[in-house]
Amino acid sequence: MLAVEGLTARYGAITALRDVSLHVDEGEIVCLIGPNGAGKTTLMSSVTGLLRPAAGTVSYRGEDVTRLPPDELLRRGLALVPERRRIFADLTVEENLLVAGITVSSGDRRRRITEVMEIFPVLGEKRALPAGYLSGGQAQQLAVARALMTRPRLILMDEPSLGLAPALVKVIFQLVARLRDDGTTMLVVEQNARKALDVADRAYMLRTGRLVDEASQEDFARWSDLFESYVGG
Amino acid sequence: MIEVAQQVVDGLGQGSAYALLALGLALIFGVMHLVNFAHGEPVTVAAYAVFGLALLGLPWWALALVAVGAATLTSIAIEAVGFRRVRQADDFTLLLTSFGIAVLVRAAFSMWVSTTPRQFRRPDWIFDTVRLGPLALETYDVVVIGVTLVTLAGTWYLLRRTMFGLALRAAAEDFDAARLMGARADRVISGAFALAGLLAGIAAALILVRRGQAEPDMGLNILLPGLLAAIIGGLGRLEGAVLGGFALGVAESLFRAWILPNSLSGLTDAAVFGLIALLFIFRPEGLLTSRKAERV
Repeated sequence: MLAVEGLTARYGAITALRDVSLHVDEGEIVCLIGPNGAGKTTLMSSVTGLLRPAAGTVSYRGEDVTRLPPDELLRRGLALVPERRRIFADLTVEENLLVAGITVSSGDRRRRITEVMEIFPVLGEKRALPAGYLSGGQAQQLAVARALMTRPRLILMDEPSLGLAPALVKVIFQLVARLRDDGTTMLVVEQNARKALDVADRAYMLRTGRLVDEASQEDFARWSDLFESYVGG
Repeated sequence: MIEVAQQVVDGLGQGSAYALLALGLALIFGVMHLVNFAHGEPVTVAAYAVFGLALLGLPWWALALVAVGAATLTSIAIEAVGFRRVRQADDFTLLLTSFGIAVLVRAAFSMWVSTTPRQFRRPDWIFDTVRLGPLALETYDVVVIGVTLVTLAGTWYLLRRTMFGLALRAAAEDFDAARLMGARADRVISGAFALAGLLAGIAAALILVRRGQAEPDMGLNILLPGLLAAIIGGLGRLEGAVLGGFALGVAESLFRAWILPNSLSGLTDAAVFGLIALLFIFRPEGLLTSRKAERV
């Protein structure tokens, strides 16, 4: 469904990603783990068109989408839950969801707001509140809910558990598993590696801009020692 | 007391144009992080369009519509021709581009039209007064304030209740996040310039009805108080820009007519700037503090 080939990305003189190739097949949950500064978020930005890669290609459902802007990718069914959530603090919870549904018809938009508020009841309770007043956990739920507004085929999640209490981390990963059962494909970036691997089908490990390892479910145990050493499990 | 009230109304009338200009500047700053020094030029183009069509004998209300249309189109054109290609550039490049556009438009009118003001006929009603209890108000001020309030209400509705407005507000807060939600960058920015141009056009119509002349420096002269108003309000804060515009107009009016003795009325600008300096000593973020700044 998603194939990244030889991707290299730079910020000025700094090379943040070097010749990275990976793929995500339909129906899979693929996890991308690695320490801070490994280039995980750079990879997400390059795939979604926020950042122009210096070299390499991104293809999605068989088409080269390397130079397409984020809004066009979203229209084709690829959504990103960005790092640090990036909710619109001055807009209300409901307005955040409306904006996230800008690409769908107004009837669908209303229906889906009702749907995501069923999944995340707290968003329904706080619908008229400026999103800047939400707690970290509520804001993360809003960030995921925004991505669900377009019923995407592929969701990229950048650190969905960042800063969340353990109980909420569990809720987020339960949702990830449920979305997969509904047929959504996901690429999840996580520092919280153990939790992420619980739901993942395959995983890639990224370090200082390079892919250093790849594993399928059977191999995850082999990674345990590594987590102790630098990922911080 | 009555005299003060009349000066306040006069100041609100003057401040209306500032508020409309400042609101447009704040909108553009929001989506592009650009202090647009070319934002006065739609007013200049509107003035010359009105001057040209006044020669054909169009009635004042038709000329007002011409002003609004000309300013809106000019603002859209400035974005499409001037800024679109350099949008990814750093803030300083954008700022210089806006200066360049402003200089270019002024030079074009000076070279090819006239360096001196061109007059056209003004409607008769601008010299009338209406009585409101003990107050004798100029019809012009009442019209200006009324039109401005209706315009602001319409803008508020657009920003709060339409998908275009939501996308604009979202983009003003986090442009990339808005693109990730599906907002088209070109459309949002073009829309912001169109709306800012429309507001500038309404300000232009209100000014031209009274002044009855077009000159190359007109845009620059109205841009400066507009910019000041936007900064007073806390640059990028839409409500702040409007408030800043009215506050600036009222302060000017009170200083000129009432606080400063007649012999010192030439110092009005100096006094108003002094007041603004004081404001920034005590509230460096402007009248309305951004919630974002509080959260840090």
